[in-house]
Amino acid sequence: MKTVLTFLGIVTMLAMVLGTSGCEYYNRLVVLRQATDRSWADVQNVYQRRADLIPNLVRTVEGAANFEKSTLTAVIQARQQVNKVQLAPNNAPDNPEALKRFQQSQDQLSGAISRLLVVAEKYPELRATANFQDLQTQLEGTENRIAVERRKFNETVQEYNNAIQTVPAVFYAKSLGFQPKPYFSAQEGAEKPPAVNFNSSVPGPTPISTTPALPASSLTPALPAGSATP
Amino acid sequence: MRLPLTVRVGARTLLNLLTILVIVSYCLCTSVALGENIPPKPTTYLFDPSHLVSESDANRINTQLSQYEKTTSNQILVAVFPDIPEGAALEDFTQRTAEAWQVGQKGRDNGVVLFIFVRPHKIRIEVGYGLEGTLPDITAHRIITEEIAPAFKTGDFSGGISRGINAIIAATRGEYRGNGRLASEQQTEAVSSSRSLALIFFGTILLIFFLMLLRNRKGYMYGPFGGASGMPFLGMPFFGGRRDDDDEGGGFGSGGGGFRGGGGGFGGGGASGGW
Repeated sequence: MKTVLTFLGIVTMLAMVLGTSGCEYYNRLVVLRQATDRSWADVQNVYQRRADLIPNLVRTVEGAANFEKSTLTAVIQARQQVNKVQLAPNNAPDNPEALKRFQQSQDQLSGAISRLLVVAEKYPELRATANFQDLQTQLEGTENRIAVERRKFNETVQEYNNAIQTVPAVFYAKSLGFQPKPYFSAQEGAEKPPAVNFNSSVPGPTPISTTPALPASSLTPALPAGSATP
Repeated sequence: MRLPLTVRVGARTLLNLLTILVIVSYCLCTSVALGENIPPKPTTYLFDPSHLVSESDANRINTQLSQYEKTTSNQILVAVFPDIPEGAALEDFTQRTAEAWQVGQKGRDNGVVLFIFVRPHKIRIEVGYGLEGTLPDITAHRIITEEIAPAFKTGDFSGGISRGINAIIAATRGEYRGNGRLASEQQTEAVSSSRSLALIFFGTILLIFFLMLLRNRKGYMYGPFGGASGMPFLGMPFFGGRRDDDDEGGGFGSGGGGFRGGGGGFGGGGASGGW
């Protein structure tokens, strides 16, 4: 009789301990997943902030005499493309392909904007206006915020992925609906600053030190020679 | 009848291992690992190891910023570096440093750091989330180009920094109210120490249970092993739990009017410039 009671006592205690620790583990996964969702919402927020600056940028640049049309059109088109590839704002994406498409469309807009700003360097009257300078500051600030929030998003996703892929959560996470989430990837050629060749007779790109200081992670590879000449 | 020797030795080894687990876990939870090139947290509002400004000017700036924190709870820092660390991007370094130093109060995120990099002639104002409304990027850029850079160009670093600080104060005043105390004078929330306290508490209870079993339940094999195996499960959730921003757990402030980060966050707002 005493053996049975002791055994029952031990089993009850173990059940209580496992039960409470099981709840702790599950709750932690929920908290981590919500952190990724919140972080995703922050990322969407800063991308939206950039999108909101585009109309003003287009208006300001259009006003400049003889501004090169193709760079402006590229920005407008990239902005429209971004609208087409939207992801749900409140849930961190589960699908790596969807995130890749989203990132590609946003990175194309980054590239178009940075090329526009580089080309604008050739228009001193435009550059001198306070409106343009303010816009440039705001765009740099937004690109910086995008880089920061993407990095923070990757950090929350890493913590979540680690939690669901380590023992013991790895045994029950999938069955409870916790899927691993994809990351933002680093851009191709992000480490190279954009180079523009203003002189079509000189082959190859030339680095310009007066280009606006956009954060490296938002820049795209060097422009082909000759595309910036009017 | 005493328990067999193997059982007693096994139980003692288990206890020793568990003690080591507790100590190591506690140490891991309370260690703070900053990035490779992030400088250590400053204890004054002006971080100037290369002495760009004179000592009397430094004291004046420290007093001014300390007073500003008391009245508004905003934390403004000035950080002077001889150069940008090797291989780091300017904005990436400043944002990570400001956040690692936890400038600004937790929840309010009302920190601003004025970074000066002497050799490359670069200035950056890094603005925390909570002050982005009153100190937007355009204003920060104007402060750099109109207040700080002109003075720096003539070599008046102390004057440039003062004008910059005054402009930042003017922009951010009124957003938040302080309570007359500095973050360094307030007690930290004992977050991680309460976690380890709970573990020690539960650990002690199980230990007592375990010892009672050893003494009273002579000859029953289930007793000691049932009790001992419960402990690791209880230990793990506490340390696997939410990782709050662990600081020196449960410690008190340094006091004396120095700077200590309140836990504020930075989202990359602000502006860069140079002279």
